[in-house]
Amino acid sequence: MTPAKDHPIIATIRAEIDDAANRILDAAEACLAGLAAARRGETAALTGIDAELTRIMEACAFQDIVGQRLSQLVAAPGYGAPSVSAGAGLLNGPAPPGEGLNQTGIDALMQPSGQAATRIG
Amino acid sequence: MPVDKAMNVLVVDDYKTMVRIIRGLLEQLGFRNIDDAIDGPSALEQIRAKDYGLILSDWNMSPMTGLELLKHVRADPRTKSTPFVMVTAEAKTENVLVARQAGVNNYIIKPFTLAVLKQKLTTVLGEV
Repeated sequence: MTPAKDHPIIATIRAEIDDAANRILDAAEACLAGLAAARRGETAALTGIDAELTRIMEACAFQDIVGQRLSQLVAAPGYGAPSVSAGAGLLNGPAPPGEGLNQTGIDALMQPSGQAATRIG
Repeated sequence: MPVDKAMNVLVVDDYKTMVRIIRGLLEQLGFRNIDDAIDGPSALEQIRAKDYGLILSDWNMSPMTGLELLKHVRADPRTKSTPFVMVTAEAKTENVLVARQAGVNNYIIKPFTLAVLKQKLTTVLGEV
């Protein structure tokens, strides 16, 4: 059985949690700095706070991604019970780092050589 | 032509945190009438009970995947043209092609930013 610390999915999870935590902290610190500046009368500092709070929300997506990676880990040989799901060929969860399509690649596939990304109205 | 942001929007995802994120980002874009569903069957119930101008759905859900939900939505004459955007971590070429074949209007890979969401919704709905 592969030790947990050696499994590549574990390493990926650690990296993603670490990245999300740092992004959240960076944004929170920027908000606090902006608020402190605003309290000193530098109200222009408030304009960036919305963006920083949005970054916090975006970073919280790690919970979903990591949850899916944990499901992959449980289904991996030597871990937990094997998963049984119909149509599993299309249900792979998040790709390992460097694999799978990024948004640019997806956008290219969605270009209308045929149809989508289709405009409605 | 500006989008009517008073439209009803449905967010479908089995992770409540992701629902909160998408809801929050949609609100940042000006959408206000946002419903959510935790799985495909409850989403279908809501879709049959209310007119939605936009559906955003995860793929990897059970007992009904987002792809299956999309197929149900497209099979109903009342909703066959409802804008449907897949928001998912499924990143294989075959996923995108199958979803496109099933009639998805756009496809967003998780994790994503507000800017990406805005861009992809603009492609589907018009300037957001």
